[in-house]
This record gives sequence, C-alpha cells and structure tokens, in this order.
Amino acid sequence: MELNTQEEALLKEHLHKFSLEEKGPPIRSGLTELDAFFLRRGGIHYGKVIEWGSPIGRCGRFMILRFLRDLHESVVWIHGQKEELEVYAPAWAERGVDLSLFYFIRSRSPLPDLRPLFLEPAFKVIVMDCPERLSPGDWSFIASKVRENKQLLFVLRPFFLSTKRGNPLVSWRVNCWLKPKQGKYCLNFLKGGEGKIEIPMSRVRDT
Amino acid sequence: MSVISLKHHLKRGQGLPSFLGIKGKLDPEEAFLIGSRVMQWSDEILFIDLSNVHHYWRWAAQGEELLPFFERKFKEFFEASDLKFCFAHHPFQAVLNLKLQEDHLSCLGTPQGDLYFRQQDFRHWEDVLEEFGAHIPKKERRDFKKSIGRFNRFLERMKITKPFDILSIKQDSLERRFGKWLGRAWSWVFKGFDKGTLEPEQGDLFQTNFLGFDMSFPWHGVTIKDSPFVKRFLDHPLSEWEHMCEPLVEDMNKLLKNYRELQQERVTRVNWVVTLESLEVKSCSIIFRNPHSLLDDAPKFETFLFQAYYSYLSMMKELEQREDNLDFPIRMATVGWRLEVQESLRTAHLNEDLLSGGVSSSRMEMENKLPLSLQSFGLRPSFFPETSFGSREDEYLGEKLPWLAASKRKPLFVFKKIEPLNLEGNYKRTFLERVSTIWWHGSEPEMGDRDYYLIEDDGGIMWWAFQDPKGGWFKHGLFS
Repeated sequence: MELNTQEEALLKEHLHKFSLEEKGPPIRSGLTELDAFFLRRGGIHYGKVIEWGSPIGRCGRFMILRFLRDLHESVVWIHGQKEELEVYAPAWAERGVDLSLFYFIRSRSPLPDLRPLFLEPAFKVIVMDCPERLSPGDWSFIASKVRENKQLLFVLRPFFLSTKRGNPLVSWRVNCWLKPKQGKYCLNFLKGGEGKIEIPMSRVRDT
Repeated sequence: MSVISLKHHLKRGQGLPSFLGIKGKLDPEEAFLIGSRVMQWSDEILFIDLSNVHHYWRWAAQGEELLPFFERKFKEFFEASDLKFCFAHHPFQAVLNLKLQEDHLSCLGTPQGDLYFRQQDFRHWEDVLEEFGAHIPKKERRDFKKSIGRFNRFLERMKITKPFDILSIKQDSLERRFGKWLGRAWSWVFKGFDKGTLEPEQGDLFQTNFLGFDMSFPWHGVTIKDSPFVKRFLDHPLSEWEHMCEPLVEDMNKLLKNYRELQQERVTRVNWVVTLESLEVKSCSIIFRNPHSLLDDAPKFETFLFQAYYSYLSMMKELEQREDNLDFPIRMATVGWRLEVQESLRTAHLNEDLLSGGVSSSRMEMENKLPLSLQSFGLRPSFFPETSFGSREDEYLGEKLPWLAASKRKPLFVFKKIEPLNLEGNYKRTFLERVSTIWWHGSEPEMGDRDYYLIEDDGGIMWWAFQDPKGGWFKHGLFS
C-alpha cells in the first residue's frame, strides 16, 4: 500500500513522537568503563528511564552528576529526602554542574503533585530523588511521557534495588555505592547488561 | 587611585530590592504597568510590590542589568511627569527615603543608596509614622499615636538622632515598651541590612501565599477599577473536580471575550468565590507565581486549571477538617461561582511579549503550573559554608572561586540546622579542612573555628561533620 504525502508526513510525525530509536550521540559520564556498560544497550539517550539504587550516605548521587554536568540542558531535581536536608550549592558547582540550569523542588510524591513537569518538555532532564511511592500506573505514565517528550529521567532510590522484583518500564536498573576503605565506586547492573564494575573514587571526583 | 561613581549601580549578580516607592502625582492605575500589586501610601507616595513580577521583568530585560532597564522603562512609561523612584527592601524604607530624596532614582543595596539611607536621621519619622497610623486598624490608632509621642521623648532623652546609631535595640524590646506597630516599623528599617538574613524556605504544597512577602505589614492593595468578572449559577451541584473543569474553561473564555483589555495583560491573581450547596460562600485565590497571559492560555486554560485545582483542593481540605467532627460529614458540592481578576500587570504596547523561548521563559510558565516554586541557587563570595550560597539565581557569580576546590569533598545535601553528633562505636574520620570564623561579622556563637571531617560510621554511612574548638562534634551534612 502506498502512502500519499500527507499520510507519510503524519506517519513520520507519529514515529518521531513515539520513536524508540533516539537520535544524536549518547549521553556519557566521561568514565570509559561505565559508558561502555551503557553502550552495550545503545547508550543513554533522551526518552529513557534509569532506576538508580543508592542508599543515603553511600555517595551514589555523585555518579549521576557525571552524566548531567556536560549536558547544557535544564535539569529539575525533585528531592524527597528528609525535611531537614537542603541543597548545598557549592558542592554541586564544584562537581561541574551549571547552577543556572539546575532547578530544585521538594516533593516526596512527585505524582500527582508535580504532574505538569511530565506533561511538557520544559526540563530535558528530571531526577526524582527518593520518591515515596510510585504505583504501576505512575510508572506507566512517566515512562510514556518521558518517551513522548524526549526527556531523560533518573529515579533515585534510597535503597539497593533487587532482582526479585523487576521493572519493565525502565531501560537500566543500577545499584551504586562507594566503598570508602577501598576508595572505589561499585556499580551493579541489574537490568540492561548485567554485571559489576568498580571505578576509583579519585577518577569520579577529579576528572 | 580609586574611582567613585555617583550613579546607583548594583554589584554584579546582586538582586534588585522587591519594593518600589514612587513619589509624585501618579494615577495608581498607571502603576499597574510596573507591577500587579500596588498600594497607595499617601496622596503623593505609592508602592509597587515587585516580588511576583521580578522573573517577568528579568526575562523582559533580556540580560540587561535591571536597574538601568527600569530607569529606561520609567522614562518610557511616565515621560512627562516629575516622579521620584526608590527601590527598597521594604515599603517603609522606601517612604523614609522618598521623604528626603532629591535624585530622580535611588536604590537600596547599591553603595550610594545604602550610604544615603544609613545617614538618615529621625527628622521625618514623625510624619511617616503618622501616615502609617492611617493604615493600621482603627481601634489601635489612638494607642499608636500616644506611643509615637513616648518614642520621640525617649529619643530626645537618650540623644539618639539616627536609627543606625542604635542597631542593638531589639524589636521585641521596643514592642514591649512602645507597642507592636512601632516595634515592627523599627525592624522594617533594617530589612536587607542584617547580616544573617534567612532565605525564605520552600513552603508546603498547595500554599496560596508568597513567603517572601512581609505579612506583618498592613498592605492595602489598590483594586483594579471595574475588575473583569464572570458569574455562574450551575444547573446542578457539582462535587467532582473533573466536572467543574468544563464550565470553568467556558467562563474563562467568556471573560477573555467580554474584557478585551485582558488580552494585553498578564494576570497574577484571580479571585474565585465559590458558593457551596449549604449556601456558604468561600473565596479561593488562584495565584500565578509569574505574570500569566490568559490569551496564551486560551482556549484550554491548562495553566489556569492547574492553579484552580490546587486552590480548590486546599479549600476542600480545610472544609473537610472543619466538618470532620460531624457524624455525617456533608460532601461540599458547588452550586455557583464568581471569577474575578484581582491583580494584573498591564503590559500593553511592550515589545517584550513578542519575545519567547529560553530557559527563563519556560521556567516562568512551568512555575505557573506547579503548586510550588522552583528553587535555584547561586554562589556567594564566602568560604564559610552557611554563607557561601544563596537561594536566588541572581547570586550566581559565574566564575570559580579559589576556595571552591574544597567543595569537591563536601556533600550535595546539608542539614538546615546543625546538630550535635554522638560519635560512639567504631568510626573512621578523615580530616578535610579548617574553616575559620568570620570574625568581622561579630561573635555569633555558631560561627566558630571548625575542623571539618569526613566521618564514616560503623554502618557505612558517611557524614560531613566538624569539631569546634571546645571539642564538640556536630553533623553538618550527609553524603548521599
């Protein structure tokens, strides 16, 4: 069956909107071994959701900043950590974050409270830090919206993720923590190319 | 050789004060060209609250410094009139300054503005306080007048001539002796001048008021003449939000059609007066954090509906709490409403509205949809952790400060309040840096020398903690 020009344009638009195939180079952390792991499944692109297990006090959030610092895109960080904690801007700036592009908002239940953030691509990157609970319906909503709006979503969990319960709506599930005695970051990929890697702390911090 | 500039200028990255005082013959309606919240103080002075239009003007300035930008705008808007303008951190400061001001423009926060303000004496205080008396509740006016007399005698007896000579006087001491209004007026004089000013914190979800605004000041806003409104009596009571959306959108379209001038305005507050089934009338304020164009929002009014929903939810919560003790709580259905535009910025004939895009613009639009404002941070030229950053992006310095390198070993989140840390059991500590006290800021107890450590407890949790000269341990941050 042949399509006329109008139908072709509509199909193209539709494919672009819901395309699983992302354009442009992948988003990198600058750490070769880590990027190689992500590249096994096409690399991180806009439209993807990454679930990141990192208990509080284990420094896993520093690794996320490696991906965000060179993006030059607006980022919203939804932090649902303890009430008594607040953002300490100099530490973010020194890790390469452009503070003029970073916005923060406090919410423990981003859905439904901050629903508008997912309805349009005002922010190219969304980080949900310690969301209280996300129902299967919430996951389905955010995954489809992130794909539709070509946003990148990190969901940071204050616990280690396990393989007992999977998540079909995310592209990667990774546990990340620091082993201070060995001076190494450990990353355990549960979904999206299973395996473990260790990266020296100094490389994460100083390069 | 040092060069002294006599022109008011703010330091790079410094934010403009949130209030503008205007002295001269100006119709309050014209003041809506600058801001949506206007108050007439006296026959010759009026104030404009810039806090809710600040982002808009900064976006409109397209990178130009705000002070020269406003100077240009004043000439453009009020060309022929002989007006005097004063930017201040509080309306009371603006009125004190305007009483003596000879220049066309002054701005607190600039070296010249601050110097001029600090040198002021009490000459005009009596006039200003008497004018202020007209804005407080009637029953308190008599006592307030008496307290002005007592205050003047106190100043004479103590030979005090300038407010800044006696910074040590506390607001509560003055309130005890001369009443709450004089105590408050005293504290307003120093707003923006104190060193340890706390930044407004992000409040609860669905709040309907701005935290930045000083609620203790009796602000009596000028209402818009013939404010646009639309009324509706529903055919049947509605209790589900989903069912209300359609008639609300219909009404907003009607409002925009009936009042064509609204198409050239940016609204900041719509009053939604809801009549409930019990015939109780409740008022909900639909507040936009940044001036919002209803024309751009039409015909679906998505942004309006978000804010209306938050407001409705907060009203329903309040009602449900009130009715909670009843055996059979009544589900409060709505039978009608009145929508009235209460505050708006008249941006007609401005080219800025033609501009669009950019992070700032999309941020403004998104903020209007969210129940909370987005926070952004900037760095300040200070090595002391608590004073090294601010919550406004105007503070951003843009360049690397030498002591920032140490921040690589600091956590992303810190405790709002520093609390003692009990170090028990096995733990490992690694020395990070010594931070000296800011001795020139006075001897505040929490600002002592600090030896910062990275503490790893036996559970593997890493803390950012310090030891004070007395050996006490305090937790300051948590590595996450």
